Amino acid sequence: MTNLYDRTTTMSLRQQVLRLLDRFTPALAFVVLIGLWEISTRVFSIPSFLLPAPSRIIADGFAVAASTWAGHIWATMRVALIGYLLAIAIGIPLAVGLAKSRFLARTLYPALIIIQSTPIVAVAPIIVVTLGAGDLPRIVITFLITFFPIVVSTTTGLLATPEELIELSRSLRAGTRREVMQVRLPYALPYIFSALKISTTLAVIGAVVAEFVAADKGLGFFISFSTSFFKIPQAFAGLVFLVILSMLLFRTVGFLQKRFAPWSLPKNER
Amino acid sequence: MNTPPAIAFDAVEQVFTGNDGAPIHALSDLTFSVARHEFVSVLGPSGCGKSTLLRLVAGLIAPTGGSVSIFGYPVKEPRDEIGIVFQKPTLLPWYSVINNVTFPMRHKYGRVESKDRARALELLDLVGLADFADKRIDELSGGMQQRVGIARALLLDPDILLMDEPFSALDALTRDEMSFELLRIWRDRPKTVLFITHSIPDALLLSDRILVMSERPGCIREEIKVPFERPRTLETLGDPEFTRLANHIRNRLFSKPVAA
Repeated sequence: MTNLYDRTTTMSLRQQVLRLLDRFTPALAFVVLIGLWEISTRVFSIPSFLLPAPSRIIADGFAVAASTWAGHIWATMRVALIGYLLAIAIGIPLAVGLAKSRFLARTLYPALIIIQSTPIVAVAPIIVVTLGAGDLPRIVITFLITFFPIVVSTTTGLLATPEELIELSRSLRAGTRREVMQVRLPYALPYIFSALKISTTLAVIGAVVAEFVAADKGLGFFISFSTSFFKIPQAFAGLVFLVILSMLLFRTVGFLQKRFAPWSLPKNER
Repeated sequence: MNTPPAIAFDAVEQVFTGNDGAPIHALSDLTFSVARHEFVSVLGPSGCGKSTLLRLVAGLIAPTGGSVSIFGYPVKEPRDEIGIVFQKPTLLPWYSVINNVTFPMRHKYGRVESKDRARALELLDLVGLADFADKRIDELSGGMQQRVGIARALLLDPDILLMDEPFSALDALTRDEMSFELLRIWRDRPKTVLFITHSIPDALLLSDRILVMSERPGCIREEIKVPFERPRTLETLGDPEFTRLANHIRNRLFSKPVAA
């Protein structure tokens, strides 16, 4: 009996170690990767304008004043967020229209596909010329890039509502507004949230592309400005902040979904 | 004065346009009636238009010929006298169990009052789920979900309960249990029930009368009055007459006799 008891405790200890290892694998892999990067830049003496070492990126990043960083980050975040929220505010009602009205679907869908088929990067300079300086052209570019997945996914979700749920709604004669608000939209939430997650990264891309074209602030501007002076490590530091910004937005949407619509997540993610 | 039947079909015809544009005759010359508080099963092979029949009573579709009436009034749109239990539970996963039961109030009138909640709790008690009011839908088994569906259908206190193969998605054991549950509920809350099924034992155990339908275009091939005394129990299933009637219906359903 004692023997058996001992065996179970060793097993559980081993399992504990394995579980810890499993939990920290992503972080560990990341640290190893950075380490390899650092070592290879030193061993092969790669010049910093080709591929700067992580330590160099951190050092040059700190050389830039915190207030300067804050200004650039805020500029990019503001444009990305406003464009993103605008895309949600316009995209979801438009999806309801597309799902409920055959006329709207037939008139607007082709136009939407044309917009989506146009490379936004190519249109960006034109939009900047048309809409002038300031945030407006940047917001419009961000909006255009984030808007399409939201509309398409929401429409798909609204139309995927099971026929029996619609019949339940109709049998109660609740009207179209309640059918959309209480049945179709909640049913579409998993679709909407997956589009909202994709769109967070697209929003940051949109803001950066707009800043490449014309801006005097923002992380996109900072990166293109730094590279033009061959300050590659500094440009990389800007990139790090962009990645963090993107991930933060993505995680925020994930958090909101978990908090307010846990049923829309697969069971193991609740 | 003669009271009109709860449900009356008079020479009802239903023709759909198929995907290829050709007309599909779902129902033809369908005439029958269901008295108030009667339990009638509609039994037929798949694709015989059973569900079409139910949707006609519910007012979700209009007949292409003949007339459907409820308590003497022709059906033009969905009415409050009718509660529907669907094949799948058709619950809303974003609401708790109790909010699913009160959903008809929320959906129809935009608000749920405390008396509606009290009534919903009473109904949950009736279907044996009093302790599950605040659970999420995905915490319930298939049979429990279908019970929630039944409670929801009863919320607006309809005179007529339409059930569209409500137990067909359940396993055999849960099915038998649910059939007896339904009998108990029906005894406590007498309703006119139109029960669509393809299960001969279910139909025999539950109904006062069985309408056996033919293949498409669906019409009534035979009407069978079920003789067993109520309340029906497990013994009813063992009655020799039960087996005889089941075999009789089976032979009526398949146009050719089936050899084992």
